[in-house]
This record gives sequence, C-alpha cells and structure tokens, in this order.
Amino acid sequence: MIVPITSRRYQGGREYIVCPDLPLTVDEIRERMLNRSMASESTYAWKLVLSLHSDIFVKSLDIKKDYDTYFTPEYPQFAHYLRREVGLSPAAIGKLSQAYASALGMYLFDPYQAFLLDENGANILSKLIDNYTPHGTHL
Amino acid sequence: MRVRTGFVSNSSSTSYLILSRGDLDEMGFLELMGVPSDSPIARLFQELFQRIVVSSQYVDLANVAPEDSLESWFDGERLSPTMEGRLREAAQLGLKAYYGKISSDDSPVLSFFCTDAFEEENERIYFNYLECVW
Repeated sequence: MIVPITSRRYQGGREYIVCPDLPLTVDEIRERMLNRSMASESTYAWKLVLSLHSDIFVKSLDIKKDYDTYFTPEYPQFAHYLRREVGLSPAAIGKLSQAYASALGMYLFDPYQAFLLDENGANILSKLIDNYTPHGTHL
Repeated sequence: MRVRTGFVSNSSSTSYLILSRGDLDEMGFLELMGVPSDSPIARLFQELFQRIVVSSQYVDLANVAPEDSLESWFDGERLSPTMEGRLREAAQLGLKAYYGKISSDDSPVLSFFCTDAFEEENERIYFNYLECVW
C-alpha cells in the first residue's frame, strides 16, 4: 500500500508512506521492483530503480519500527504516535492503523525525484511495489 | 518593505549530445535507457525523448565538411571536450547528431533529469547527458 501525504516541509509538496506486506523482505522487494520495471540489467533504468529502492527501504525512516522500538511506552496506540510524532491526517492514520499487523514496515519516503511529486507518483510506486501483478491481479 | 513567502528554487539546464547510427526513434531510445514501452517507468523516458525530438539541432554528419569547426555545426554552441571527441569520431563514421538543452522548468519529469548526469551507449546510440548548468 502506498499512502500519499502532504509534505511536512513545504507547501504543495508530497511524501509517501510505503507499506509493503509481509512476508516479503526488503531484498525481495528490490527484485520485485526490478522485475516489474522490466529494466535491462546495468542500464540507466536499472540503476534508477535500484536507487529508488534504496531511497525508500534503506534510507527512509520505518515508522512502524520506530514506534515498536522507541515509542510504545509513550503511546500505547499506534494511531496516537502517528498523530503526535508524525503529524498525519486522520485519513492516513486510519489506513496505516488498519495495515499495521500485515505490513513489513512503513517507510516515510520524502522523494527528491521530481517525477514522484505529481499525481502519477503514487501510481508509479504502486506498480513497482504493491502486492499486485501489473495487470491488477493479486499475487 | 514587501515580503514574499513561498517556495524558491533555481532552474537548471543540461546540454546533451546524441549520436545515432540511422535516425533516432523512440523504440531505440527506450532500449538504450533500458525499458520497454510497457514498463511502469517508460513514461519518464518517453517524455525525455519527446523533448529531445523538439529541442534538438540535428546534423547529418555524413554531409559536413571535416575541416569546419565543430561549433559551426551547431550554431556556435560551445561543446565539452568529451562531446567534441565523440563528434569527430562520429563524423568519420557518418552518424547522425542531435544536440540541445533540457530545462528543469519544463515538467517534473524533465526537472528530475536535470538533477542527474549520465552517459549511456549501446551499439546504435551514444547519449551524453553530462553538461549540467545551474
């Protein structure tokens, strides 16, 4: 699941919370992204997908892990952490609370890639990462 | 005193040179960049290609005089040493050359490419996208 949120840094910006489902691992998601992109090995597109994977799953904060590791004593409910520490809207909190148990992680991704900042950004991320085949069928 | 609030950014542009055996087409360009046309990220490269098509100065190097200066082939544009070297080689082979600039102001996709610099090559196409100017 990809949850677009309004940027917390500047007006009109966009961030994402990327929530891949268990039991996939971060390495398996990288393979999925490369396969879904259909990029040929060692080409520009291949490196672009690898970089995107790293930006999301290596460099971005996993707020689920952050909550589990540091914030459970302070916020008995995940929703309270999301509201107070991450500053999310009620709609986003509802989606993430529902996905909490089945998510591998919840990566708070602030993209520098300008092509992810418009309406098509979530669509591109979803096609590369979400638990669907490119034709929309559940795996 | 007037105070203006909002997002401030610098624009940038990148000069590119493409050398091609035969005419440059979208399928060949996508192959060079590494994706088929039904890839979820193909749109990025299709948009870049479309901009290249409308922005390029085109020279068929089979028809230029070898003694002419390289700048004269492209309306006096200043070329990087790497571009000059590749053009000299390409002229001997009679390749087709496309030179131009991409601006970060044009679209989010093109803005992204203006934050990057790369050089790609396969058997048919050489693409120099290294000359970034902020």
